[in-house]
Amino acid sequence: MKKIITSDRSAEKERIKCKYALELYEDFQERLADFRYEKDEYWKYTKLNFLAKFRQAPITSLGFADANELAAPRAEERAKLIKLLAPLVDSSKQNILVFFNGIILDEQPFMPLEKLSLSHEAASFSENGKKSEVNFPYSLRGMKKQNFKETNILALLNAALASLDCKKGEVFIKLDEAACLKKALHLVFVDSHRAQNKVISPRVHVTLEKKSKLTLLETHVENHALLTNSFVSFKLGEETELQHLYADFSGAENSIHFTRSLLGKGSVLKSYSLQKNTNKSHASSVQHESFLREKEAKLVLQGFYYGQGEEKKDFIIKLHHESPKTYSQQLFKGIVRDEAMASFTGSVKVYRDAQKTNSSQLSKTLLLGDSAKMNIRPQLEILADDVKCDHGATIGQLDADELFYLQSRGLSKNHAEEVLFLAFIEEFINELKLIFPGETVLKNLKLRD
Amino acid sequence: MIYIEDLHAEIEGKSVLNGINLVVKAGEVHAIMGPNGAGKSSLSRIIAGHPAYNIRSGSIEYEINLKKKNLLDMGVHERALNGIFMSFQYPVEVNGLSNMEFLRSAFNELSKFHGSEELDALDFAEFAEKKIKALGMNTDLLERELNVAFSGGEKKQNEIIQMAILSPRLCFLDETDSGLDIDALRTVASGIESFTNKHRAIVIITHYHRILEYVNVDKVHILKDGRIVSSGDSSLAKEIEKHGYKNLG
Repeated sequence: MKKIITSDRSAEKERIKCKYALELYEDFQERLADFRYEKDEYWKYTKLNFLAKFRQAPITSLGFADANELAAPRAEERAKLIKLLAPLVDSSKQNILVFFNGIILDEQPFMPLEKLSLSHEAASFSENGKKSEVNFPYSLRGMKKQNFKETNILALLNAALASLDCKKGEVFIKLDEAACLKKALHLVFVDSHRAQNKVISPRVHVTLEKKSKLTLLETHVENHALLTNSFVSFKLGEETELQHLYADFSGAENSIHFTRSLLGKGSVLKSYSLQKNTNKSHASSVQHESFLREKEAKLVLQGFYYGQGEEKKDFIIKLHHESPKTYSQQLFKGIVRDEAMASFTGSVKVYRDAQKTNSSQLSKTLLLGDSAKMNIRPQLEILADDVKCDHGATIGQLDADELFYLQSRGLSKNHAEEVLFLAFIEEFINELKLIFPGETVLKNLKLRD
Repeated sequence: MIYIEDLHAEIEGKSVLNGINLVVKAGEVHAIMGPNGAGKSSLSRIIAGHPAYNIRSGSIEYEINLKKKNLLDMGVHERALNGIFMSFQYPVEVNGLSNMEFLRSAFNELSKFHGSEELDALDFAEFAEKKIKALGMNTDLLERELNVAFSGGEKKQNEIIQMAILSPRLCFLDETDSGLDIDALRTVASGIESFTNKHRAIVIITHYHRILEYVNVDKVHILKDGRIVSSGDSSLAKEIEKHGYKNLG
């Protein structure tokens, strides 16, 4: 692997980039001033009450102006980190990249890593540095050059805080044409007490060039921040394949995970999310916006969530079928209990030219107890006339007869419930096992407290 | 082993048991017969602890290892761990749950309760296959999802398999014979017969005399309108076969 490259940009340019952070942050503050999430159709089910604390807050109180000390943590912090992560990762099957408080570590603790093109700076790609904004359209540089206005308010905040330290705020991962890593790439996110009252803003861009393939795991573990606000972008070139698993087992107070993907001709993106947190007042939002830009692009989106205590969980999916013969399949399954609330908003737009599009969406929820809540909003906008689109939603309860049957064989009520929960998500887990064989992340999915 | 005294019970406001008295001792095999709606299934579900029933009066005492316990104070899984087993008339299908994993969970819960060794997946598979072969049943059932797409006969066999693996002390077999063809009936009956011993009591609940041709019973009780109206030896079952339930009670 190339050592993580930091560019030799001049102090002058550095100041410009930091100015861009201020510009973005001002933009964010302006929008925040009259933003009422409860009234906003897009955000109404996301628990964003922490935003009130951000009004008028100086940018440096939320983000880290100097990421260097995070990229190279103190020896005792590092030792603690390794001890925490060792059982969760497997370096024989994974290339492991650890992010500490949202910043990738300069010296990675879990070796070996395969050779891959990895950098903090899009510009530092030797062969096609000039095209960086083409390779990484949602890089900060790309956004600036193209004068791209981020419409998602939290993604805007991510961009502002990620650009605060212009050298280390973003990570770029690129697979060259026909490249294929032997091992999966595992991004592990962990933070420390330094993150308290801060907003952690990981920003990762992944670009696959023609016919390359990648398995990408993203695991979020320990978390102390006020908010973890991740932004991940994927650009899939022609006939590429990306398998992505986002797993959140953290005790985060609030987390937003936004993925934006651009799918090229015949490319396949399979993206899965798993959420089982340790903090029962956790609020999280998993958002995925995907542009099926060229013909025969294929997208599989699946998610499993477990909401308990007073957790709030929501999924916001926005798919744009822009070209003919594109395919999308969504399956979301969740268990919501206690006072928890979840919501699923799945919008699919099929553009006029996107004939022969095939799109399906299914949401299934198990609701336990009288106080748990679930909102489901399928939204289809179809402008083409020769398409196949379907959507369905079910909300049910655990079957009393099944519970009794299992209990009558000696399983306690809690154990019987857990067994039935796992049975409920069996199809989902089976698919994950096929795609991510032997992956350690799946072993963390224990539903029993 | 179990002492039921003047038991009155209802479900959703409808009374189903109206003063049941029944004593079953260790080593005995009893049969309870009766017409539809007599309360036979209710009785076995109450023994297993089904939460839908309300016990209005009466008592059930369960004696195990020389200790007497008030069964009505025990939770469903607690009863199972203490050796009570009910075979279901309509075993529940659970999509996504493998039969093997289910059996292993139940077996290991029991092992934990008794402080004996829990088995890992491989050891358990070996143990379970041995048990199933000894019953003359098909080990393929283990590989499938719990009761899903099982035939009627396979479901009933699976109940007997569970009984053999969990090795309970008091078994209520609720219409284990219904819906079985003659071969399946023989397999199930010989499974029950091989399961009898002096420490164990078995209560067979049935509509028909047929299964009693294959299993030796010590006592036969006739249940009607939530009461035991007649008790006797196996000749009583033959009597019923000839004359029906009409003249009883």
